[in-house]
Amino acid sequence: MMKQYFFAVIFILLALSSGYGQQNGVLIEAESFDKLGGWLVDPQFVEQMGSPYLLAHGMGEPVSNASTSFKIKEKGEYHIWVRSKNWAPGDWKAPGRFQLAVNGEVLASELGTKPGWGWEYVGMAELKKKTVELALIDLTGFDGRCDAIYFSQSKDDVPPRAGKALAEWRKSAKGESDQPSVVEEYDLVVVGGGIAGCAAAIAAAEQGLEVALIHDRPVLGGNASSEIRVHTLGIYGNFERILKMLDTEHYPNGSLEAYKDEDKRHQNISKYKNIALFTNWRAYDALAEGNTITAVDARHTSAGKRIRFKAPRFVDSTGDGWIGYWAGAEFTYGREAVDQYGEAYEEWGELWSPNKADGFVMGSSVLWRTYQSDKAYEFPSVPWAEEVAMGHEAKAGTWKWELSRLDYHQIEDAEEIRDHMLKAIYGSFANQKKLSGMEKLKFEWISYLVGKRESRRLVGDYIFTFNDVTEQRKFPDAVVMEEREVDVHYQQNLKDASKPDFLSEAIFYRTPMYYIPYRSLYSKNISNLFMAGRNFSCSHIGLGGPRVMRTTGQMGAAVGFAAAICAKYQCDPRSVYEDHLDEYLELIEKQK
Amino acid sequence: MEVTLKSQENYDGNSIGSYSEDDYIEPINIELYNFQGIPAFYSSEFATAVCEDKICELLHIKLFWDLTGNYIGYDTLAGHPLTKFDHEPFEKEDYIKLHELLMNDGTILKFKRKDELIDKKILRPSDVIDGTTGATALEIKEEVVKGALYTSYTLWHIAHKGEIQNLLNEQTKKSYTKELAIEMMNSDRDSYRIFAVDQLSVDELSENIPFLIIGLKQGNPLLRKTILQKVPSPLWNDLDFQAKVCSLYGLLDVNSRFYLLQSLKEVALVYSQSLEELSKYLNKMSKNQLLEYLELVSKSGELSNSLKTNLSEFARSENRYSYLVMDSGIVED
Ligand SMILES: Cc1cc2nc3c(=O)[nH]c(=O)nc-3n(C[C@H](O)[C@H](O)[C@H](O)COP(=O)(O)OP(=O)(O)OC[C@H]3O[C@@H](n4cnc5c(N)ncnc54)[C@H](O)[C@@H]3O)c2cc1C
Repeated sequence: MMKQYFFAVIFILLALSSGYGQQNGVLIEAESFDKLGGWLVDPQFVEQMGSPYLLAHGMGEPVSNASTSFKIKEKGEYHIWVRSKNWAPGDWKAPGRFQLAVNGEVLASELGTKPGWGWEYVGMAELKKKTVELALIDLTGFDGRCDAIYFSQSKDDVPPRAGKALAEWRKSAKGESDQPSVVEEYDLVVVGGGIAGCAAAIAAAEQGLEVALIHDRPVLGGNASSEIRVHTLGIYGNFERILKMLDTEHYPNGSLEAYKDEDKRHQNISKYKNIALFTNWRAYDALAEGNTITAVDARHTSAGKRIRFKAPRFVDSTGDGWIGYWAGAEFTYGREAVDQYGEAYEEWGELWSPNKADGFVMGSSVLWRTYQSDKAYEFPSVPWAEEVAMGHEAKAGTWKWELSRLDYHQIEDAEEIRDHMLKAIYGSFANQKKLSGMEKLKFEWISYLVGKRESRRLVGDYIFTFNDVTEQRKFPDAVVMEEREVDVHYQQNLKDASKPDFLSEAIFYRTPMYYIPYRSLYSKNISNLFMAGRNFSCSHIGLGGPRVMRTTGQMGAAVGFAAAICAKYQCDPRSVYEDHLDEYLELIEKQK
Repeated sequence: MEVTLKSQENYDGNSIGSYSEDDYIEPINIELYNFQGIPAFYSSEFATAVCEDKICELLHIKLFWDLTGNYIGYDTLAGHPLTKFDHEPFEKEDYIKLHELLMNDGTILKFKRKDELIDKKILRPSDVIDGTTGATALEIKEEVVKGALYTSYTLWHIAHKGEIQNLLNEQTKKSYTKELAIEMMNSDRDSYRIFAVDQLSVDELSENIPFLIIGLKQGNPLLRKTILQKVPSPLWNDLDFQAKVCSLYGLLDVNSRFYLLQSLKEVALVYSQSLEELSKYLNKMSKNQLLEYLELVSKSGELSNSLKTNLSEFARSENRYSYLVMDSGIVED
């Protein structure tokens, strides 16, 4: 039996705190359904739309029903709302339509038809038993989504649409206290289980620290996981042994081979008894006292349970710099003006680095693959996809399927970016299917996760820039090294407006070995925060080289060992540089 | 986008310098060709070695670049037809393919080192390319001239050499005259117009408003951004100019639209005429464009009646983002 939330229980609290005049309403979180069927839990956009939700990602074929049951206190007639969104509104039928069945009876309303996240009124149902059965019935296979279902005996009891009001309402509905009641303590808390976070956890654990690794996915690896399937590039630097436990073969991006490397990764991590692995837990806040983080709060992505993680030091390897952001760490986003650090690449001008700072960053991708199946099949028409695909034909997505736009923020608008890419994919595939010989072409896989390249970059004591590459600066605290070329992307349609807006191009700068100093791996203003991964301290162009995952893995390992030095001397990350650098570098040297 | 090179007789060429690298057999000497005293294009006749492992062939060719260093064409030299690795002559379609390849600045060749051209994993004799026994990585194969992988590779990397491009741009700056400025501003080549915008001083920008407006209307997004980025505050404060630029909103691409809205946020005064112009395109705005626009509106004090009407109508419309206008509280229900 799933978790459920009764308003009645917290009625008094409610009246005092938020003033919503609730009746006997019951809120059911879709992600907590007992059986998910073919629906997927999508927690990527919690900060923007309020909650993990269920997604019917069927690549054009309706997925099987999700179902659950819950109990009501009072039998009777109930009004029902579903929180959903039409993700491709326009002059066509909404692509992601679904229906709700209550006690086996399908309610007529088709849901997922209103633009913007909000509550859609489903209708009324007479609940004759105290146990209620629910099912979500996907009608299209085209990414219908359901956040929550609300039952109330009053028709006026419409929950708030979005934002703070909804968050407060939800909290009341669940009777949630301000802070998690479960508290766990560790020597080091690492948030984000991409290659960087995994490497940090291993390095610290090898030095005897008790480590919590909090990761919002079921599997480790971030962009290198089987869910996104990007292969790892870059060199091992000082950390070959650790990184070989985590990296991938050079398979084509999108390949099924990602699974094999993922198995390896999980087996290796599980060998460390002092790494407590919290997969499917998403951090949602970092508490700071002054400039020190005291705890990170996380929530299970489907069960909704919460834990407060306390530690003397934290690693932000979320890619998006969430921990730093919540704690008030300085960060940057976008492209610096070319003169800010003198990062020109003359022949590439504005495409490389702009005269005035702007909001472009390298974009996000959604990878996908097709195969020739053994029988012909017809793909449904996708009029809603053509506004993006614009006649483009394709059989697979490569790294060039990338989206960055001045009016899209890679974090705040990530859902819209993902959905835009889905339109590009469905549309281009549909166009490809119209060509002769393509009758048997079928989707093998479309990721539903946004593969990101760049968003927030937390500011450290040192900001790594392109000049550190061109001058191959040898820092006294160099802990990461790389020789892979710097590549920075731009959208193809900037040069040629007739190109689809979801394709990018790369500018390459080949380089001998360059180095990254330890000082760009801890926050400048938050005293106990390390960062590893693409959210390390660098300029936009500075990220162009070291964003690849063996390099970010090196950052992780470097930070893990630094955390061990911190633990030994009870000091903050900066003191490792100021007071214990020799010992730290020796420790790193020993890893080779 | 091709520059007519029909007859070079009317052009006079002057050497402007050369570029060389360790493995070049001779420097690439570049000439600037003028037409009636105005710079028109660059070109270079040179010989280069096309090598695979230790076997090299000599290749004679002439390449052409435009005034901003973009490859525009090639020519063979008398007595030196192009041949493939097995000495077979180029067919007509090979010549065309070579030009297409050289025009493609996003080709996969860009990312490859020479030693990566052959896919070492699949050694299939049947896939013989350039006389080698390795298969060309499939992706590369589709883009290069069949049987002339190394020729394609070598020429593409010379035609797109950044150092050469910089040299040519520097030279164009040195040769820049009023006449050339006019030519470039009137050109339909975006890179020329971008070059021209870059050369304009603040005063000159204000003296060339029609050029700026045409660039915003017809240019590629990069030209538009270059223009918007350079508009000086006094010009933004000019009512006619500001409203005119806003009236172009519907013609702009997404990025330029957003960049325009962001630029307006920095302008001291956004005139209500400009806001009205923009309000004609509410239907074309993305979510964040609309939010940015509503922010401009909310900062602008008293709203004109027609602006109020446009906003209210939009708020009541079926548009996917009409709720945002309601949420903003700018218009009343
Ligand atoms: C299409 C594409 C192609 C690329 N090609 C390559 C390539 O060929 N080789 C290469 O090496 N790199 C490549 N990159 C770049 C590289 O994958 C990224 O830069 C990568 O993000 C760097 O790894 P990371 O560990 O910093 O972050 P990520 O891999 O993004 O890992 C961060 C993880 O943290 C998790 N997380 C985020 N927030 C929270 C939270 N609040 N709580 C818990 N967990 C959280 C996320 O789910 C994520 O899995 C590519 C990227 C893309 C998108």
